[in-house]
Amino acid sequence: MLQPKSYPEMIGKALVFEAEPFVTMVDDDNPWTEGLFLTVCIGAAVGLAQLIGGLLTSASLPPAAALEETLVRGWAELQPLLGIGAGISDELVRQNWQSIAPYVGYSGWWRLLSLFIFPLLLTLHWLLYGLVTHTVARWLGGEGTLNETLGATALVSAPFVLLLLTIVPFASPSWLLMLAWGLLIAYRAVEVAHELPWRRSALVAVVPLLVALVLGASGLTFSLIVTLLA
Amino acid sequence: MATQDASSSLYIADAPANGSQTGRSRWSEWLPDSELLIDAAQLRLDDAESTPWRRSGSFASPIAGVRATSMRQGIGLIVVLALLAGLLPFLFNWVQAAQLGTVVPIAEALTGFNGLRGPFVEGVQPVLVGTAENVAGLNEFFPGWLAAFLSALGEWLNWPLQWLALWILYGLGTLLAALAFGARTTLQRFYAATSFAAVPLLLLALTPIPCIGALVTVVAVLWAGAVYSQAVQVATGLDWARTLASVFLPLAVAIVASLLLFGSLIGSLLRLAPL
Repeated sequence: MLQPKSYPEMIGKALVFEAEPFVTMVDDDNPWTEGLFLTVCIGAAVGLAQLIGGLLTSASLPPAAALEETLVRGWAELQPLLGIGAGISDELVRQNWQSIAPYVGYSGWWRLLSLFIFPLLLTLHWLLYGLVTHTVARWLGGEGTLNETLGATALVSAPFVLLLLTIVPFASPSWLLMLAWGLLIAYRAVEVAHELPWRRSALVAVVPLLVALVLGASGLTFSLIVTLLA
Repeated sequence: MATQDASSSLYIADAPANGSQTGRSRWSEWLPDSELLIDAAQLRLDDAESTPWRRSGSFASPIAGVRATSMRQGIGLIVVLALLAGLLPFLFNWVQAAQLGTVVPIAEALTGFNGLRGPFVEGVQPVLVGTAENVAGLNEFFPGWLAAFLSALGEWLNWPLQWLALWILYGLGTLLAALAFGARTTLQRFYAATSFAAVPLLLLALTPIPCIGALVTVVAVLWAGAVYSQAVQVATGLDWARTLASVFLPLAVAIVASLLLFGSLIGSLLRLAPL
């Protein structure tokens, strides 16, 4: 079992696509356990950073109720200038505020869930990614075992350490950056774990993303259809 | 120490693992040689071939210059340059927000509304400014200067994050295009070389200065584009026609995709609007 103090170096080397951390995970005596522990550690650290960052953000912003009333008063002054009727519009502003408030720093007690939700989501992301890449890699002639694949693909979580910066209010790493960087790391993981040529490794790494996009598009289409029919 | 990349038969000379073995500081593990930064700014990245042994002589390999730069040094370069470029805007934002006693986004909104001009906003501009002033006047839990500092610090940290995002995402598109055109390179070599495009972007530190800010931005972006193109050419070995096609293809795809998305959104809104 690797020592957690070696995780920062492994994560750093995975971010620059060096083969060593992937080889270390694949050669471990129990790669999937190592991968699970690494993923949960990253998720827990990020969850804690987001909790602290959320508290600091809330303390830096005006109280939610006061801000809502100020925005409603401002909207009330704008309505006659924009030719919009009163009454219903105030309620619309309040409903919209309730929807966007959690995303601009007013998540309240829900932010405590980030301590549990983020490690869980990251672990699910790792497991699904590992299972799909292993299946496709084996189909394309890969030689790695599921255990080895799960160990190597655990490093796909490495870019999410950028979320540790969310401990500072208003710092916002791009999710697209983390997903793209993770995709490149997945390519290296498959290359090492399954010893595939680079073209097949790249194809294997992209498949989980395509599956997610198709599922996401299907879900969106289904919900739109249900909404229209209702 | 040289490593054989699994995707090619070329050896990549890595930066020394322990800076003390070559008598240089640990900074050399995280930042490229300063001569390379000057070469990059002068669009001389391809001069590495004619000078195989650098003055520092720290790499025991005939491959030197930009090709000896590691991706770790590239990341270090981008992060350091982005933080330096964002330092003046950070101080500016902090002072501006602290004077208003609020966080940077609210201060920026107030500044933006104050700068609105034109016939379509004449009536609404005072209301927007008044609302923003009322919001800025609301008391936070933290003292105003502390809230301003934390928000300015967060905005400062977004500089290296945005530069890293552009480097990785745009680089991925460029790399895919280059590979389609027959380039032979590796992820590490490509990203290490293209990190030098961050050097001209240091000029963005001057963007808060009135009048010259916009001009400086244009110059910095064009200069960085030229360095990026040369870095892609050095890293991939493609001819210039294919290099430029690789560099601009992702931009063209992004523009077309944005236009299609915008067009479909407008079309949907028009169909939903009552007649």
